[in-house]
Amino acid sequence: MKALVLNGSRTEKEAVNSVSDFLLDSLRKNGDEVEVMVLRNMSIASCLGCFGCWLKTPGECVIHDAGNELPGKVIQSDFVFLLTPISFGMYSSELKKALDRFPCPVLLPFFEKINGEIHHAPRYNKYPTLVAIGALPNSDEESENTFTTLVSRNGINLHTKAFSTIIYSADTAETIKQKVIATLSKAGVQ
Amino acid sequence: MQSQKPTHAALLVGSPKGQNSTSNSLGTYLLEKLEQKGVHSGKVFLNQCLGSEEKQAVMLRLVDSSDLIILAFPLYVDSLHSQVIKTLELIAEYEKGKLHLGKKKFVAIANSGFPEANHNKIAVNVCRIFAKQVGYSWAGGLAMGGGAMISGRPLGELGGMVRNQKKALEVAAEALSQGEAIPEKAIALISKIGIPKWLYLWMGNRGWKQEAKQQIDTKEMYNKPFKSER
Repeated sequence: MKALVLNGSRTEKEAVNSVSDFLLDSLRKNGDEVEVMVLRNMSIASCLGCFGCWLKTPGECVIHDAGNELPGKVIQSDFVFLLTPISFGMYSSELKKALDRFPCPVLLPFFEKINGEIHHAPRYNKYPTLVAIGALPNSDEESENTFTTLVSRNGINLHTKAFSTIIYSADTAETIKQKVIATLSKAGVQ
Repeated sequence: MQSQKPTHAALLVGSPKGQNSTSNSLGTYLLEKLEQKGVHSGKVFLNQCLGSEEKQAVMLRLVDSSDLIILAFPLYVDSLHSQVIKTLELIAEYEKGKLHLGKKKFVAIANSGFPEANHNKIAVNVCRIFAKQVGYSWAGGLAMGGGAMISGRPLGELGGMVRNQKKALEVAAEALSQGEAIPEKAIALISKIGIPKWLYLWMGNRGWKQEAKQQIDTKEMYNKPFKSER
């Protein structure tokens, strides 16, 4: 199994970094091939919205930086893990910078109907399962519902399954481990 | 209690396309209607505001000096573009510890290329949560699908296809200028695209091919540059 971990923490002190360590240990123990991208340490430009990945170099982003490798890495993975502090119910700007760079290249510009709603048609036959782990200071129903819905919507648009869990600052290391294990199990990570 | 009428409105344009964006078209139209009602206004393009601390300070000063903040943005991967989230994070940091008591009002205008406005629901929710967390008063979110009908052109120059969007922004401007939240009528109106859905889809799919044809063989549009190893 091949996994890509996108770590969207804004500082090294954030809770999602401890999740990252535990997640890596768990995946590597299984003998899985894992690549971690700590996004705050990488030079990834924001998406320009130019549609070059549909109209000039189909399937590839026209910006030549680390973000350019994302579509390939994503499509060649079985699982993509999204680790993020939750900002106003959604991903951090660090994670979103990377996320904005791969959905267009891995999809086609053309529309198709899924469950009565319009989405972009797939470019590839198979997409990796998304697993998002978000961190909040405290329980916050509004932010949690928005985050959970966002992840599941990402799954629909990327023609894949998507799973999410939320950890809190007050969670003990053991609680975090249990939450991560339960999510991996739901997502089908062996 | 009587609502406080705004005196200064700030438009934050959150599209990476900046001046040529549909977000700018929609936000500017609302701003013009507010100006006609005596509200002073200022505008910044977020794609030009984040490069340095000086540029960020210009954006934060505009937010600081305004009592009505309008964020206009395109939908990106079911939510907001990274530059818009970065901006919200910066504003939240800047406002930390300040007591606004809801005196500043915050409005979102979302647009997407899908025909259904419903795709914008999460993005508008994010804006509402942001407003609540920083102590701004949430004055409503306008969300539209079918953004390609505008394609960055000034709304005033466009005809019947965007009549609902223009009317919705006019109704919103009237309410906001009185210190009120955007009426449900405007929220419902902006979500209705002015042409049948099947026609929008047909035009969209055809439009992509026509645009691509100017640069590549359209068969290349289906390229799979990365071989799946799975």
